[in-house]
Amino acid sequence: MTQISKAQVLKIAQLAQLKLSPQEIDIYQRELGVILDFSNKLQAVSVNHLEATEQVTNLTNITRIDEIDANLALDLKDLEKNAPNFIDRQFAIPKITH
Amino acid sequence: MISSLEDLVRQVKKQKLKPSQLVEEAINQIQLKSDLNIFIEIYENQARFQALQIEDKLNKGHPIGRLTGCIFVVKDNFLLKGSKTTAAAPILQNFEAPFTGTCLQKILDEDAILLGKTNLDAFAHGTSTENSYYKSTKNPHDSQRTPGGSSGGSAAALATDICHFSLGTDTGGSVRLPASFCGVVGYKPTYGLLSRYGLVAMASSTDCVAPFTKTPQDAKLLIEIMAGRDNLDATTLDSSNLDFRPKTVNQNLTLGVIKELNQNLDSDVQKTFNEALDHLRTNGWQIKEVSLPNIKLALACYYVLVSAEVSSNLSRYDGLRYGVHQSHDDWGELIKLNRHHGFMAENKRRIMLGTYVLSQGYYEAYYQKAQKLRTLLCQEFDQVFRQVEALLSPTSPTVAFKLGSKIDDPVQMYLADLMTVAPSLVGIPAISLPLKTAGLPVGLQLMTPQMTDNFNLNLAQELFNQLC
Repeated sequence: MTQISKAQVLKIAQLAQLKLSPQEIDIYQRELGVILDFSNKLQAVSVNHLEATEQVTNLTNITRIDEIDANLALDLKDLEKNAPNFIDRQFAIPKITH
Repeated sequence: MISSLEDLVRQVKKQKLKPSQLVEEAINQIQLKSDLNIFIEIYENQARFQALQIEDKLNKGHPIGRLTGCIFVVKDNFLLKGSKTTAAAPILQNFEAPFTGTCLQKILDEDAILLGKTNLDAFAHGTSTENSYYKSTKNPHDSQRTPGGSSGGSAAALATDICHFSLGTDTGGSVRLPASFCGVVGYKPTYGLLSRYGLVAMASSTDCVAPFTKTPQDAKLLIEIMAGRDNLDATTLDSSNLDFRPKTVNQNLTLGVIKELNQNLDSDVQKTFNEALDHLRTNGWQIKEVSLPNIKLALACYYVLVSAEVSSNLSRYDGLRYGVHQSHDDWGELIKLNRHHGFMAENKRRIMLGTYVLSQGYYEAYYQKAQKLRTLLCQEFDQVFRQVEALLSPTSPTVAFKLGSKIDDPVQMYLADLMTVAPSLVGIPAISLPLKTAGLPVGLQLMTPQMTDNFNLNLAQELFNQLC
């Protein structure tokens, strides 16, 4: 079975900005191992000669003039309703200390 | 007796059916079926008001829409301005949407009456609606079983005749699977045909707005209304060349049964699927076995790619601008706490998996490999569509499973999607049709090439007439 170490679980949690309890670390260590085992089926197929597909529409990026459409702009009052702390048209957040 | 959405609209226009009466009947039905836990929010008063507005328009002879009087419900990952949109997740339980999404707005503009927001797996992560922050929805055919997921609420609402149609989202089967488990039609269009603007994003390269209906003909009306390029969603396709007129389906075409998906099925599913194929052959259809050699890898491919996209899309939920938040003086710790309390276990599982497959040292072996396998799958589908015009498989290897039976085994839960993920990865339209059965519902999945939505729905209606 694919073994994933506790250190790896903690590293992933850090990257994903998740705080895990000790029980969750154990659970995810086990479950991720099982899921990765399942995903290892991918190793059986030879695809290195192929290009990666990122999206299936075959559309390519286009640009537009950078101007505001007042009909589409969100109302600050609606944003304020959901905000924990909204001061002077800005979201106030705790200090970033590191 | 209502035979279709178009028929209902005709009857409403002729004033043979009254919208306010339809609304009262629906509200009554909701109460009768309240033990199924279908709804997160019910809009009784708003629906009554909408019905009165429509009746007023009718009385005054004002123009009315193509869905006038049709009652519908939507999965609670569709944003509706001024209403809560929770995605059945703790972090969004009080979130008030600041705008309405494009597809929902198009339906509302046609005078359909919105009756409520339905239950789902949190953030649409799941195949059973058991991952909801709220109570699990139950299958209307057997309340010990799941309705499927993640759009279980919308499927159950239609199956119990609370509404005339409903909307869900299908990222890897989340409308087709519940359609199969609940015995209704569920249609996933070509990726990019319908705008994703206003959906709570799950996996941006496969998410599709997808309707539940009683018939493919009804689905066609809804798709036609919702389809179209949207400046607010850069991944939408130009559908102005798409023709949604009814076309007779010629039985000279060949249907392909995917060999690799016609094995290891529950005996109920195998029996019902075989009977359907026999019935079609007796009626003169050409049916041929075809092979998609790598289709069995589609599930692993799907979970790697979709988890990666999920980990990115859910990174926005930090609780700093919206969402339920905790208290902490430190920015970093606050974000972690908000996310810890804000997500269900399955959300965290997928975020972790996605972060892992994108991380240094693993990116090539998992994510990049899966993207290349996606190319291979596209090529295999292209090749097979040169041999046959349409593909058939069961929608699911099993009938609706018992509540709680897979919740402790993530991989078992993921296996429910075995049949449905490949069309999602390659972006082709796929529909689940409810086959006639004596027991629990069984779905037949019909797949056709990209941008052949009209063909798919016409063919599906023909198969529906013969098999459902």
